[in-house]
Amino acid sequence: MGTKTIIPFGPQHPVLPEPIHLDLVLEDEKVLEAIPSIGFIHRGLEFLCLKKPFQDMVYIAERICGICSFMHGMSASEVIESIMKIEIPPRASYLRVFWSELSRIHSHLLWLGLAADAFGYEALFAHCWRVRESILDIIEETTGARVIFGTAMIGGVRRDIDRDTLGRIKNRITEIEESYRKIASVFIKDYTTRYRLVGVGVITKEEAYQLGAVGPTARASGIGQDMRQLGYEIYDELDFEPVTESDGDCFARCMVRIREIYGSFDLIRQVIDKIPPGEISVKFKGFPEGEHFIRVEQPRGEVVYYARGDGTKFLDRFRIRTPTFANIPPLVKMLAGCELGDVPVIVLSIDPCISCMER
Amino acid sequence: MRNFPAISMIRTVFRYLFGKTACQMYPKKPAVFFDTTRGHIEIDASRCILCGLCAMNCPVGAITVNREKHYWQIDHLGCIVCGACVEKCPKKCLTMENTYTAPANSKKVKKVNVTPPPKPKKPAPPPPVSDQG
Amino acid sequence: MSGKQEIITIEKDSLLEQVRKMDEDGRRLALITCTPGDDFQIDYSFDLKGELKTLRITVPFEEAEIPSISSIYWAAFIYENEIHDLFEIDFPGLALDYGGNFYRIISKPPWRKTGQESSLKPPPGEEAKEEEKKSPPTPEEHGDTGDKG
Repeated sequence: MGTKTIIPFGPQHPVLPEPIHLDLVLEDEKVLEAIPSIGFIHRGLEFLCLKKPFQDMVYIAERICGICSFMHGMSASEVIESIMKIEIPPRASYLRVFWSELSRIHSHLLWLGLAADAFGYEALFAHCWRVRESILDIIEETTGARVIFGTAMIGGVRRDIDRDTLGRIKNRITEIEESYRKIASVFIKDYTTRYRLVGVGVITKEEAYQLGAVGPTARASGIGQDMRQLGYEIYDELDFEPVTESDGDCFARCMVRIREIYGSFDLIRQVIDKIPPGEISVKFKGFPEGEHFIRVEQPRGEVVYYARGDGTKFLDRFRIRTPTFANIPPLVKMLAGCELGDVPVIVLSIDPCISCMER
Repeated sequence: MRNFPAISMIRTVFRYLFGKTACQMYPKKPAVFFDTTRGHIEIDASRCILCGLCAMNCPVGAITVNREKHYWQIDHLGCIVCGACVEKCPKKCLTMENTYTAPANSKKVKKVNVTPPPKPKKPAPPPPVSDQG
Repeated sequence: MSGKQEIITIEKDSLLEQVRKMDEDGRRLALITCTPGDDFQIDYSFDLKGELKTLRITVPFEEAEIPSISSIYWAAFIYENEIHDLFEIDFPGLALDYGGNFYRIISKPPWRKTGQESSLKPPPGEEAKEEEKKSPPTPEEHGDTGDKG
């Protein structure tokens, strides 16, 4: 019978991109349970809906997180458009999907770099981020900024992309995919990677569903649920399949994200081929009245937006439930029974975006 | 068969030893921005009519327009470079430059004096109809 | 465009048996929302294969107490702790109860009062601390603040 100690897994830790606190109850290097507590980066952004007019909520939503920035802005516009029953033109939908998939690629490449850094491969971390720089160049050329895109707007998008630029981007995507393929093979085939990731942090399919896991965390355990299947924006006209694995360990979560990047490259090529000419935004009048739920597939999972308006300039309530918030109970379950040295890898494998979680 | 990992390792070493590096000698080689990069806001004061639409649409309140004292003022460090003012200006006198705001060590605002547009001349009132006969 | 949605208003007493029915259908808990207004309105949203069903209960300000559903859905503990910390509603029977320490923030969140009257000012004790931390930007010449209030 060993002695029990409680170790704080800080807000500050080299492996964490953002601050979260876990109290680990240990018995001789084996974790018995983990107790999370949050609030280090709470900015009270939901409360701002009572102070700022509803058009400004798109700017605020974009700045919740730096990695999934565009999808937050797009979801904030979508929820207000569904309340006010605004139909956006098809070209705007295609452009939104184009930027969403670029956002997903750059987020997954960032995560692959952090995961490589978590088990010591700093050169691989630099290579992943080098490939990510080419994606950020495409984003800067089409939207004007690298991280906060600023193109989502209620009623459509704010910027257009002309046909020559789209053609050049299509060629560049093929080159980027080739250089990405070399990096992905290191994750899949290397002996040390498999030793650190296989069999670590296992969660079964029933447990993941009952605890409400979303995104790659759920798909790695065999739950084939991807919010893009709902067909929002223009996804019902594009063909793709959600990527699932069945093992439920860290290696499966890594494989799901690697294969999703290939899927996103393919979706971008489909969008560039099928995009129709036309307008990019519509004008609208009036104030939102009513309520609606919107669900969008962010890189980390399913985000749910809920907004309620009562006919004035200010919204009544603007609620955002981000995917990392829903992945915390599965994380607590995964950490029970693991070794202390595996805790950083497991915490990083759910892709924690804490600034999204505590808006 | 055992030599294949060794051959690919030697190939990788030569590629990264003698090939082109991914890094650039910044700041010796200056950064190149795209045309569409959102850097900072500039105004062409000769076309401004002091309507105030840019200040009303700014989500953070970085622009101030004063009609009585004839100036337009922007806080460059508070501006989030969203481009809403550029879109809403009716006279298209605001432009988005593609270089970033230089770092500063105090929060000063930039004030631009604007000559107000000349008032349109009112047409002379018609002469009163004389009541004759 | 966003899948089928349905909102059902129920009484507070029948909450636990309705949630048990959702669990038997095989639904997963998506989110728990709290909207302050004239009184608190709590929405429990459950999802099955892309279809979202929401149970809505209303709770008055004075007796803000709701039985916890974390005996059926263990994952509800984070949502209920968050609502307890931000809106001060009690959940007796919570599986993992933090007692108000889930969100580690210093000042009280302003949501407790109804929407239009609440302000972002901290309670009187912390006002002195806030004043010395903030230093507003000083323009070169003092002028009017313009149209933005």
